[in-house]
Parts: sequence; structure tokens; C-alpha cells
Amino acid sequence: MKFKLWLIGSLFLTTSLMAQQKKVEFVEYDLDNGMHVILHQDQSTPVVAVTLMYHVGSKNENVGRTGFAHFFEHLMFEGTQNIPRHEYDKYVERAGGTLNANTSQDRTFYYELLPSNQLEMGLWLESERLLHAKVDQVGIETQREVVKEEKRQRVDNQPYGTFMENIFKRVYSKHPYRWVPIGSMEDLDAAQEEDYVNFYRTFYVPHNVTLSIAGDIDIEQSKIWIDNYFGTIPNGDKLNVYRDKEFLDLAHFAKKYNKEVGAIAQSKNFVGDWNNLSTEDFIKKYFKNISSKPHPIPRPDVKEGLLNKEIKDTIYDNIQLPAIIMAYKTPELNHKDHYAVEMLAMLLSQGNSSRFNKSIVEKQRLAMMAVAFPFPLEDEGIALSFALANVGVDLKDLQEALDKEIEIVQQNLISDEELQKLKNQIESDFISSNSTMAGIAEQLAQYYIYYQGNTNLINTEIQKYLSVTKEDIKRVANKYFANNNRVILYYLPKENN
Amino acid sequence: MKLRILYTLLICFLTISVSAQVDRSKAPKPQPNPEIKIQKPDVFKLDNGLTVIVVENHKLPKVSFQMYVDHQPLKEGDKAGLSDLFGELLGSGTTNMSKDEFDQKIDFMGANFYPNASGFFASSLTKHTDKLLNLLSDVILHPAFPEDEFERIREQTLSGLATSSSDPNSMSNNVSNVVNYGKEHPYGEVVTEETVNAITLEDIKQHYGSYFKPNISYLVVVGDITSDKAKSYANKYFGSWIKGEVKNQTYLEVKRGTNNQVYFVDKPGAVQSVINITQTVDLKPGHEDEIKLRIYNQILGGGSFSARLMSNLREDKAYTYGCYSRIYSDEIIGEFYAGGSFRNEVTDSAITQILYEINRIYNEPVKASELDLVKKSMTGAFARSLENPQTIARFALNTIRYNLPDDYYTNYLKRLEAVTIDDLLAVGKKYLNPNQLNIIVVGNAEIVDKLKPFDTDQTISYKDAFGNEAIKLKAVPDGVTTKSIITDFIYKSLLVNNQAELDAKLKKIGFIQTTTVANIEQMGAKITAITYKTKPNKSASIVRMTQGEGGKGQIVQKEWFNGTKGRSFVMMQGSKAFSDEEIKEKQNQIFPLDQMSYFTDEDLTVELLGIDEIDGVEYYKIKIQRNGKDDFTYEYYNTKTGLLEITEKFTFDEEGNSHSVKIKITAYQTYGKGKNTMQLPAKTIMETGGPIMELETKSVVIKKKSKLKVFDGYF
Repeated sequence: MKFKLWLIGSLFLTTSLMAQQKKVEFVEYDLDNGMHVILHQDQSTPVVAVTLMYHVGSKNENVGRTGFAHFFEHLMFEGTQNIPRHEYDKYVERAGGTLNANTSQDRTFYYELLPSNQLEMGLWLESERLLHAKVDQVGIETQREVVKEEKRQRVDNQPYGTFMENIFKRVYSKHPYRWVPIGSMEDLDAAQEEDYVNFYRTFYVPHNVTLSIAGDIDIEQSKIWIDNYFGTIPNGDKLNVYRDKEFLDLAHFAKKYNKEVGAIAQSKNFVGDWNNLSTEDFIKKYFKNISSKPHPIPRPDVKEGLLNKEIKDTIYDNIQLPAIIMAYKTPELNHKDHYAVEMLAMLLSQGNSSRFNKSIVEKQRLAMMAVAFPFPLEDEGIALSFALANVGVDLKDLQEALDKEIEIVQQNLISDEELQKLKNQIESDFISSNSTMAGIAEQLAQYYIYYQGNTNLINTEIQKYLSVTKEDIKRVANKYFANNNRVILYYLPKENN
Repeated sequence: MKLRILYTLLICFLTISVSAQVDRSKAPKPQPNPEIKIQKPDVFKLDNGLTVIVVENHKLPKVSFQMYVDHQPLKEGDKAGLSDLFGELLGSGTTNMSKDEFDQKIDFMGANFYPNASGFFASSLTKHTDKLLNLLSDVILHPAFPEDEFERIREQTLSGLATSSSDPNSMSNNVSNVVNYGKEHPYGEVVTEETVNAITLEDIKQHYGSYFKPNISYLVVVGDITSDKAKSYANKYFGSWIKGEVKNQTYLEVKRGTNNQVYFVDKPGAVQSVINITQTVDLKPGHEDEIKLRIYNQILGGGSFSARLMSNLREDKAYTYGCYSRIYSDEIIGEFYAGGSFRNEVTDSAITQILYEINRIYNEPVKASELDLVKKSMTGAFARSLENPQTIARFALNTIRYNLPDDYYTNYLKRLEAVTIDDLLAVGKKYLNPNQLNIIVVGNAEIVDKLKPFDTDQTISYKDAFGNEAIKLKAVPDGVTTKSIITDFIYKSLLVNNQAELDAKLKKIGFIQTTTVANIEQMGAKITAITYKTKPNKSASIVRMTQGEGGKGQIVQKEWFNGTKGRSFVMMQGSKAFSDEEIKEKQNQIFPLDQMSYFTDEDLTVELLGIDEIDGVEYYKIKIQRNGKDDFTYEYYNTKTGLLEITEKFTFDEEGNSHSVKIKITAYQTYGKGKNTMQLPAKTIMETGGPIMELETKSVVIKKKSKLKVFDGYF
């Protein structure tokens, strides 16, 4: 009897699923310079999130300059041609807003959260950053130390803080994912002003950034302002000349553009124009035919495939409790198996009834915490398991228990009820995820960038999860959660060494 | 009509022309300020006293329920951690449903449920509301507190303690709580293995029975639900919760230290120092000064890059990734904090700069531009916070809990605007004191010497990860034992070289009378203390105080013991006979030194802790404790001379408050005549926390016998 009631209940859940969702409406378009714009209007609170997602992260770094994308993000707060050092953030605060940024393997994300009447301020600030961010040696040296402190605080001085670094360098052998966004102290020390110039020129260009705005905005007015501030930013060779005109002195500029202006660089008229014309007018006059065609953006093209062997290692750290950290190699974000992998991880560790928690933490009492979380990336990613042993528990026993849970999923289909539970959890998460303007703006940009322009996934992605079958989950458990496709790290207290 | 079209055209034209040439060199002007609307939540009480706060918000099909049982902070003492364990266990099933079943139901709805010491926070999609409430009601009304879950959670808590002992921020927090509030205050209690092991399931059940009452609780409902519906739900699911009286708690007064004190916690291998500069602040939530102190803090070290600490220590000096300050208000007692994580090499420079900024804002008016920026930024933050409907609920909860005026939040921005530069100077002086700071550093031992200058009396206190005094002692050399140290001291005091000589000498000496005087300048008084000792275990003492020139003076204290009984008298408290316990203690004494009984009195535990270095001198540190008592004493014997130079006595009163007395013997002298000689303290300094008292030995009489009847109380 109970069972039947439950069946009816689950039917009800499934059929009512889509009825509850509110569609996230948005408009999107490209500017002439190639920059992509996404606008979402929500008038419930007078706030606006102005966000820029640059499609550049630590995977675009060169060997010997690891950590540079993140270091660069810090430098982008130093000021611009029109905004002196230490003033950028003050504009935002005086406007009653807040700002910050973060850098991952794949993208760098800047945002301003503002009262809605300050939208134009946000656009001005971000356009300044894209057009002509300005960094001097003092800024570079200061932020270099700040970033190193960030690394000490978040990684080196944190118990287990080095685990990402230790995992990634073992999972990947060729792909730039083999280092983490924070990079190494050595490379941070090595970065030069010239790296800054090259990085800016290569990646901070209109066709490599998505402007995503969500909040209490007037769409038409927003478009006008966006045209004013971003539409006027050149691209390609013209952008390079624009920036060089503003940052180089005359002698260096003349040398660099010897072919175009070398002959007249000493002339009185030229010097007068150099000093008096706006950059725009200067380019119009002396670089009439300069191209605005976007330059191609270099991206790593490395596929390593699955691991084909188990990699085991022990790390000694300043910790009290031993821990096991495992990483299975998984496909890239935009791969059909991604959704099944996510659901497998949910099965293992979302909620108290999840398998890791129920079995390993509660029943067997082997761990204080045992979680599985996918770490999908634009290129091939990983799925992590992290288990913190209870006092006195041998890591071998803990590993056996973790392996056992994976084995069960590999050998048996999950129950209908469990599948339904996962779908209900997905539905709830999906609806909750669009609760803030900042969150929506980021989601929209992310879908656009990672899914080849499929911004509307914000409304439809749930279908991809809901179409995952029990068989899919079993299949990905066998395919990716295999022993010969993983890195296992034992973290042990230093004194045991 | 025509005019209007023209006007519209003009606007379009203007806009387009602006579009063509935007002036990048200037920041754009804002549009008119949007209206800030603060939604008014619905608040009502059920018959059982449960207060329900409802904030309707239909943006997403979601509802959240928070239960907040608002009992006062509890002193948990040797069961510290009880509330936390209770909170975890609250989610461990009900009498109707096992934990497994409960977890399964929550997860099946895709709901969230987080139990805590004061109730829970839970949320689900609107369509599951009824089912969710059914479970939540069961949690509050029929919790099961199963034994096996209790043991599991205890085990987890112990594992958690182990991890926190290597996390520099937890370490810093523990120490901060202990030194700011004292271990006897609920806020200063530290959860340790011992306290967690002392908690029983019965304690948990009792906690539930004593404190979980609807009449002190709030149910906060936020989301896609109407007020009416919420009301009927509240009645249906929590209406049968039975109200009851909840005991009022009393708290010890928390006092700040008298000067700046440095505390160091060793974290081996640390590459950064976690610095925490803190003191208590007597600021109640909703007090009119609170908003001023928030601005004060925002300028000093609030969250922005332009705050002084951030701009000085990060953006200018690059000492850190982040440096912040906070001022917390609290119904009992609040707290000030400033600090962050800094690489080892700049630890001392960072403290210097943080203290500089703390003093600068305390002593000098802030710039008008700083105040203006912070007001604007706080106004914006306030407006932005309204995006989250939980903010409205929090406003309502605070308004009721702290008895704030109804317009407290609607007038918030007006009050913010009204704060002046002088207000900030005034509240700084009123609530903070830059000379009574606790400076806590968790870091690598290599930097510890650089911290001395920041401590007013240049002595660093060492703490462990849980805020206990860290015993950082050196091991004693082979062959040195408690026995050897004490015996050596006894020989030195009696000026003999071996047991035979000691036995011979003790046949000749049978009575000692010592007269000690101290001048207390503040009171213009002189204290004279005479102590008497005779074989086998009799003792007496009398303390007189004279003010000005007057005669023998007033007796402030006296006591006597004749071997079988005795009495003590203290001025203002009167006289009382020794208890059986005290008599037994006195009987166990052996003439002529306390140390003579260290190995014969079975009720004493005498333990050699190791070698401690104080002001460059090495001492054997010995702990003496009477079995079954909290009180204990440390004695420090100079490793070179063998003499006792420092005694620290720790006593605990009935409330469990600790008091300490430190006695330093700064000079010894040989007293007596002929063969009746002894080496005894000549000068002593006593520190009790109040004024320091210097005592001088005026005379010592050493004889075989005395006819005095002082041991029977005839002085």
C-alpha cells in the first residue's frame, strides 16, 4: 500500500516539474567589434549586476608563467588611462556598489554589483578596463606580493590546502590544467611587464569577452550605453595601435610603427598631433587603413584521454587527520556524459541519504566527511572524492569502503526511487540557482562561452539531466570511475614521515 | 501635442549624439536614485507563544523555514560543546521515524535541512511545503536523540577537534575567546576532548527539556507562501508545542586586561602568521551608537579595498591578501577584531601597521571624503541586501529580539546620513581602548622574539590550539627528579649537606618566628606579619595593619593550629574553626618547611613539569596539587642555586573563577645564631593583580623551644 502511494507521489512530482519553472528571459547580440552582450531584465529590486567574462584562464598560460592569468586579474584593478591607481574601486563604492573578480582554469570573471541607477558607471569602468587598463611597475610589484600572500593563505598555510595542486599535476601530463590557477611562487616571481603587455593584447580583446548584465535595467537604454562605451572600442591591429599610442612614448611608438609613421615622426606637425589629438582622431589621421579585424585567440588543443593507469602517492602535510583524495578523469563540460557523471556524484554525496554519507560516515563511521564532487572543465575534467578519516581509522580501510561504493554502482542499476530522488534534487537546485542577479548574469555568460553560444541552456539544461537513465549512470561509473583512470593521494600528518 | 513629439525627437537626437562621442575621461553621472522599498513582514504569535515572522516573496517557487529557539547563551563548563552536539543530534530522527527514513524523505523532495543548536534552517520547493513541515514539526516536537547517533556524533566532534587543532584560524579563534572573555564565560569556553567526553545523552535530553520552548522561539517563514497559509501551517505543525518557563542566565562581568598583551600559538611549519588583535566591546545590538561604530569600522577595516587596513597593508605594503577589522554588538558583550594572514617575515611590521591604524582612527578625526565614501557605500550595501528576502526576515527578527523601534530599519539610511566626524571620535573613545588589546599570533616559532615589543610588559604568553597555557618547557637532565630538587632545597634552607646533618640539625631547631613588614603606599599603611612554627606541625600567624604612626595596629588576619584543632580570623569576615579537612591538611605538615611534607602527605600530587625560562633564568617548574581540589601551585626552583624563587598559587572560588597570586623571592639571607641557622627569604614581592606588595623580613628567631602560647590562640 505504502509503495503504491509513493508511486503516485512520484508521478505527481514528475509531471508538475516544468510547470514551476520560470523562464529566464534575455536578449543577446554581438557588437561590431565582436563583443558578445547578454541582457536580462528583472525589476523586483533596484539593483544591477554588470559582469564581464573573459574567456581566458590558467589554461592559456605558458610554461614558466603559471599563475599569470590570476596575477593579471589583480593588475586589472590598478587603474586605466582615465582612472588613477587606487581609484577604480572607489568609484564603485561611492556609487554604493561592490566589485570583485576571480580566475579559474578557463575564464576570468569581473563584476560590479550596483544600485540600478548606476548602470552607466559600471559600463564605463569595465569598458575602461578593456580599452586601456594601465599598470605601472609599482602596481606589478605590489600585486605580485599580494598574490603570493593569497597563495600562502589559501594553499600553503591551509591544512590539505595543496590537494588541488597535487591532484592536477598528476592527472594531466601535457594539458595546461596540470598547474592550478594560483600558479607557482617561482613563476609569479618571474613575471615581467612585457608578459603583461602580451597577455593583455592577446586575450583582453572584445571578441574574447562576454558582457552579461542582469537586474532592474531598461533594455533599450542599456543598449545605447553599451554602444557608447563598448561599441567604440576598436579591435585587431587598430586596438593595438590605440593602446600603444596611449602607453608608449613617442620615440618607442615611432620605432615600433616605423613603417607607418617612421618617416614623419620627427616632423613638427606629427609631434603636435601626437600631443594634442585624441587617440581616436590620431589613428584616423595616421592609420587610416588600419584593420579592425579580430586576431585569432590561441587556445590549447590537447586531448590526453583517460588515464589508463592508477597513480598513487602520499603527501605529508601539517594536518592532524589523514585524508584520501581521489580524482577520476572525466570528459569535458560539453560532452553528453557530463550529466550522468554529475548525477553519479550526487548519488554518492548529495544530502544525508547519499551513499557515501550513509554508508561511510554514518554506518561504518570511517570518516568525518566523505564527498564526491565533479570538477568539470572546458576541456577534459576530473571528478573528485575527498574523505577525511575519523581519528584512529586506517586509510586502507577507508579506501576500501570508498571503492566498495563505486563498485556497487558499477555492478548494479540504481533504484527507480533513487533516480527520482536525484531528479527532484536537480529540479530544486536548478530553481534555486537563479535567485540573485549576480548569479544569473554569471550563468548566462558561462553557458554562452562554454557551450558554443547556447545561452538558452539556462532554461533548458535541466532536460539534459532529466533524460539521464539508470543505465547511463551505471555506464559512466564503469567508464570513468575505474581504478585505472584515477589518481589517489593519501594525505598524512607530517610527524608520521 | 506637437511640442511633445519635438521633445521626444530631441531626446533621441541627444542620445544618439552622445553615443557618438562619449567622454571617457569622466565618470558618468548616476540616474535618479531608485526608491528603496522595505517590505513589511507579517508577525504574529501563536497561543503557545511561538512568534511567527512571514516574508512573502513569490519570485521563485520556494519556501524556507527557520526555527530559532532564542535561549540565552549557556555556560557549559566541563561539558563545553553540549549545545553543538545537541544541534547535530536534533537532526537524527524522531520517535516516529529513524534518521535513515528522515534523511531519505528530505532528500527525496530535494529539500534542504540543517539542524543547529537553536533549531534548524530548511527549505524546499513550494509544492513540498506540507510534507516538509510535517518532518520539521516532528523534529521539534518528537526528537529521538538515539544513543548510537549520539556516540557517532561525539566521535565526529572529536575528529573535528583534531582537524581544528591544525587550522590556524580555529586556533586563533579559540585563543581569542579565552583571553577576551575568560574560560568561565559562555563565550570563552573552549570545546576539548575532555569536555566532549564528559557529555552524556541525558545532558542532551535535559537541554532539550529545559530550553526548547515555543514561548522563546521564532519561526521565520520566507518565500512563496501567503501569510494566511503560513499562519495555518504554523498552528497545524507547531501549535501543539507546549510552552514552559526557561531559566534566566547570569553572566560574570567581563573585564579587559589592563594593557596590551601578546599571546603566541606555535604552528609548526607555518608560512604565515594569523594575527588577531582584539578586545571586548560593550555594545548592545540596536544601540544608537551601533551605526556610528559600523561606520568607524568600515573606515578602519571594513570589506572594501579602500578601507584603511586594506589600503595600507595590502594595496600599499603588500603584506597580505586581506586585512580587516570588525566590531560586533552583542546582548551580553561584543567584540572588536582586526587582523589577517601575513607572511612570516612581515609579522611584526604588520602588527605595527595595524596598531598604527587602530590608534590613528582613535585619535584623529577621519577625513570628510572618507566618511562620505563610506556612507555612500553603506547605503548601497543596504539597498543591495534587500535583494535577498532573508534580509527582510532578519530585520524583523532583530526588531523583536532586541526591542528596536518599529522604524529602526526604515530610518536606517537617515541615521546613517546623520553621523558626523565628531561622532566617530566620540564612539571610538567610548567603546575602544588601543592600550588594552589582546594581540594573538598563530604562527611559526621562528618569529616569536619579534613580538615582545608589542606586549606592554614584554612577556609573551604561550597558548596551545585550544587557548590553554602552552607548557613550553625544556626537559630536565638525567638524574634530576622532584625528590632531588626538593631535597636539595631543604638541605640548602637548613644549610646542611646530607640527611645525617639534617637529622642532627633538626634536633637542635624546634621553633621559628618570622616577622615580615610591607609598606602599602597607596593606603599609607604598614602591614606587619608574624608567623610561628613549632614541632611537630603546629603553626600560627598574625597580620596587623597600622596607618600613620599609631601603635600596634589593627589585626587584619590571624590563625592558629595546635596539632589537633585551630581557628582562623579574617577582618570583616570573622573567626571560624578549621574544618576536619583543614585539620588533616595541617596535621600533615612537617616542621620547619612546607616542602618537608611533599613526599609524606599522601593527599598531595607533586609533579616535575620541566625547565622553564623566565627573564633569562632557568627554573625547575613543579606543580603541587591537593588531590580532588582544583587549586594548585607552581613552584620555580632556580636550577643553579637550588632555591625556590617563584611561587604561583591558583585558587578557584565557588563560581569557578580563578584567582592567582605570584610570590617572588628576590633575596635569601642566613638567619639565626650559632648552629641554629637557616637560609630564608629576606625580600619577597607579591603580585595579586592589584598593587604589587613588597615584603621585607625584619627578624627571624630560631630556637629549640618556645614558651609562647600562640599555637593555642593566645597572641
